[in-house]
Amino acid sequence: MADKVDVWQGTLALMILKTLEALGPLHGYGIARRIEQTSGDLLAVNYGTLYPALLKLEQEGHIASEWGQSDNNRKAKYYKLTRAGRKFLDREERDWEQTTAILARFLAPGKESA
Amino acid sequence: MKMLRAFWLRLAGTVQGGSRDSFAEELEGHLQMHTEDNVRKGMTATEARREALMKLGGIEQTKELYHDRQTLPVLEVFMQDLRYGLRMLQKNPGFTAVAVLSLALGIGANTTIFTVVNAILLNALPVRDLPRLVEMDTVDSKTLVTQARSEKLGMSFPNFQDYRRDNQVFTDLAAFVPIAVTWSGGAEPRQLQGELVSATYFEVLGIRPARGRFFMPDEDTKPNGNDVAVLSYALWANKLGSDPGIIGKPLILDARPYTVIGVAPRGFRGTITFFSSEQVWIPISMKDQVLGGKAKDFFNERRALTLGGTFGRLKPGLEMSAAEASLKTMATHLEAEFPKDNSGRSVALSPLADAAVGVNDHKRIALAGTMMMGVVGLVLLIACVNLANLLLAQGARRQKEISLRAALGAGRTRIVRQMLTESMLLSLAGGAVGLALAYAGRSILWSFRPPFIEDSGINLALDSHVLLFTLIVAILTGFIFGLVPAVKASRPDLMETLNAGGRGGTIGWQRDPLRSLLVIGEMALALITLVGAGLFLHSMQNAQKTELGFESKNLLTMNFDLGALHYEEGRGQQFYRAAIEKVKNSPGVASVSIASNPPIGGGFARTVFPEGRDEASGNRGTLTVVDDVTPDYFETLRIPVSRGRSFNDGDRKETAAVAIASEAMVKLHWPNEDALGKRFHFIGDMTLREIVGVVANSVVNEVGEEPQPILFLPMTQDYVPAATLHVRTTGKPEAVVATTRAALQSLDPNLAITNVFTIEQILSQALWAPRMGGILLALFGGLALLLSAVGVYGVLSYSVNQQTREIGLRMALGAQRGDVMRLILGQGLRLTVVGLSLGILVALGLMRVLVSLLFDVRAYDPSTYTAVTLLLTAVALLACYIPARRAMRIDPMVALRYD
Repeated sequence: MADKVDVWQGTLALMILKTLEALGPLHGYGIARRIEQTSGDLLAVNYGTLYPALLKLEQEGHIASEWGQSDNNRKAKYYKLTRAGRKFLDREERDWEQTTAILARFLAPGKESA
Repeated sequence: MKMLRAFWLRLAGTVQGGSRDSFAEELEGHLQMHTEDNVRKGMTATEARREALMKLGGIEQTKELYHDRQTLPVLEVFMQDLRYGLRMLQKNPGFTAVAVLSLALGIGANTTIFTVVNAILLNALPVRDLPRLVEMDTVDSKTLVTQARSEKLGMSFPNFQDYRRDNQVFTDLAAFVPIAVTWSGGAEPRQLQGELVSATYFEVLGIRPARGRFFMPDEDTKPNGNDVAVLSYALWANKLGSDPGIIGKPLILDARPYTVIGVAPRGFRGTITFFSSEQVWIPISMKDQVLGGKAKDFFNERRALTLGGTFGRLKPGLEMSAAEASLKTMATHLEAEFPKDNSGRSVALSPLADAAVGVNDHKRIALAGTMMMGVVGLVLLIACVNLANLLLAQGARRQKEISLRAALGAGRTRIVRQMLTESMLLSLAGGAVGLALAYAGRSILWSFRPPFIEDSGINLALDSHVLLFTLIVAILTGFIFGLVPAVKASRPDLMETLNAGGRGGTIGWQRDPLRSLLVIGEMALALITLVGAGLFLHSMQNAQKTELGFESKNLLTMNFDLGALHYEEGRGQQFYRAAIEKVKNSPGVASVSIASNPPIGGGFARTVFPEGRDEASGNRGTLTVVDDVTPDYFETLRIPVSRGRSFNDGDRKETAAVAIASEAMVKLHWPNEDALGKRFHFIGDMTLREIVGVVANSVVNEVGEEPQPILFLPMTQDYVPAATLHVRTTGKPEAVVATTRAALQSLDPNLAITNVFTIEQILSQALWAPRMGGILLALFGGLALLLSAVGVYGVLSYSVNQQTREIGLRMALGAQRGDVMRLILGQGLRLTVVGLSLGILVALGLMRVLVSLLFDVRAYDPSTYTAVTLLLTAVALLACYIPARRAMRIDPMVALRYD
């Protein structure tokens, strides 16, 4: 159970960072919408889980936040990538690609031998 | 790094309680944006908001998730428990005070005893890799030894050299001989403790000098030529003012200059726990300069056992048992090679850490320590039982509160954790107060220490070991007394308790097995503690009652060493005669004698063969203490001569060799025979000496020993240069100290006079440890008694209170007061009898194991068992009687309405 949550949180963190890298400073709602659009149903039910993940990234120094004005003049908290976060993202991206590549290799011949 | 940063932020969040407002605002913004988007998509306002909320997954849930990330939830719950616990303890100050105090007494007692055990038994020598260091001793199956605890003996120097050269098991072997040297050059000549050591000594120990250097590998080979010395740090700091230029300076020891080459590291005082911290180490090749008398004469004799000790460092990976087997094989070779000297001799190894308190004493001292720890451990257990019981009673009172919390959804683990936090708070507070008590106790204990310990390096410090010990004991204690009440409290029958309005109900205590068990356990523990304490107290008293065999009032002794001033025998004898003459004629002196042995201090032992039973015919010799005395010795000590004669001036070097034996000596060698006229010789000295007198037994080595065989020889026929002056005074012995000292020093101003004591001082020193032990045991026994009395009283009075309604009902239905009294006393006594019987059974088993390892204590001493059983029964009766009397007076009408 806990492992699954960890994987989910790790994935979510990566998606958040990638979103901020692509779109620049953004509020929580915007990040949620963007992830939903890109990932389909993954975040469909639970925008709420995003916020602890944002807080964790901020506590770890990967992102920073400040209050600002939204498009329709609402007060909103904007998150942006820090330098450390950018480095972290690069590394995570590489790790992730490696992992998926290895897994892909495992899964593909697995079908043959089975 | 990042994890750490996040952890700190969360910790800070926990302490601040987590700010919720800012997140609420952020969340509200989120919802509004989402709602607006939804409206734009064509939903109604209500629908749009509802959809946004659904997608979010609930405001409160999200806030909760966020809060959990903002803070450390585990810590937060703990802080809540802590605050709640502190509030509960504050609300019951009486309970808290009683609990903390009884815990403090229990833990304080444990810490005090542990401080002593830590200083004496666990005080690791400050050397490299101590577990690899072992002491090697001689075991001699051929020589009979009458002294207690001398199964392991020292090693002769020639044997040491053979073992050092040929052994396969040590990286190297070192030897040391304890010595006393006279240091002149200060204001007054002063005696220093020290050791003659092989050059390998520091090398084997693996320590580095604080200053200068240690001995070179061949710095112990040139007889009388290696005049160098290493000082202990304390000697350098206390007596030489930490002189930074000490290296290379001369130190006058026994009238000869030695060059100081090094200072040992701070805290190192040799390998013996009881040694003074002020030490000087000299190469063993200087033995002729430093040793006197017999030790010097026999040093190079293979037969002699005079060398203090031998220790080595085991080769890597080698077990002590394997090393010992290999050395024993070597011993048989040495036996074959030197059959006359070494027959019957082998070796035994012991860890150097154990040998530090005396290789033959370690077992006894360790056992005494274990026993003391056991007694205080039991006292603490009794305190635990008391507290468990108090908490149970409190738990019953708090059942309503706990049920309410459970009904509101607090899980069982949460409630148990809450209750354990409270008991942990109590035990930690008890531990803190206990530490303060131990500090005070240690100071009191320390203020009574005799001078010989004052000089020693033993340091009763409340060091990190002691603090850690106290912390662990406190935490364990909290668990032991807290767990059962916590678990019990966590599963009240919810509905029933709430319905009963939180009243204790009419649960009779026969129906409360847990509490009955506590009373039984408490009684059993108290009995075991008191029996243990009682038995030991008894044996200590026995030891102290032992007859000394000489008159201890008005006797003064002091030591001096003519060997240190290089007197040869003629001059020494002349000095003795002159000293006796001079002191005898000073005012306040009744009689004077000089002897080689100090009182109650043992002496040089030699192997004795009675005539006709010598080694040539394969007989075992007996290692016997020999005391060389001047004629008035028995008169001065008031030791009665039971047969034959005392020594007199007619016993001279050129007259027939004579001796006087103690009655124990006669009993051992010539039972049922007339000892007068019998003759014997020492090993290595074929002179036949004739017994001309028999004297009553007197203490030789220690108070309480079995009567020891001892031989007295005239000083004129067996000269020793280091001796003790015995002065029998007519009045207070303190009054003649100055004149006696002056008399001796007028004969030679360079003479160092040491250990000036009255026999009563010596006795109080010798008996300090058993007396202290006795006082402590009596104290702890009293504490156990008090705690268990309070505990039994607490349980019984609580249960009587619980039964108030039932008693009222019985009395309303016609029961007489006597019936009620019988009922309550009966309940209490039944548990007491069960508890005491159980205690007696356990105590019998336990004491048999312990006592078999100690001396002169009987495990089944009926008087101790009877006294303790009666005492505890009386306590239990009283503890039952008081609540019973209260119950008797209950007005039935009040009782029935009682709530």
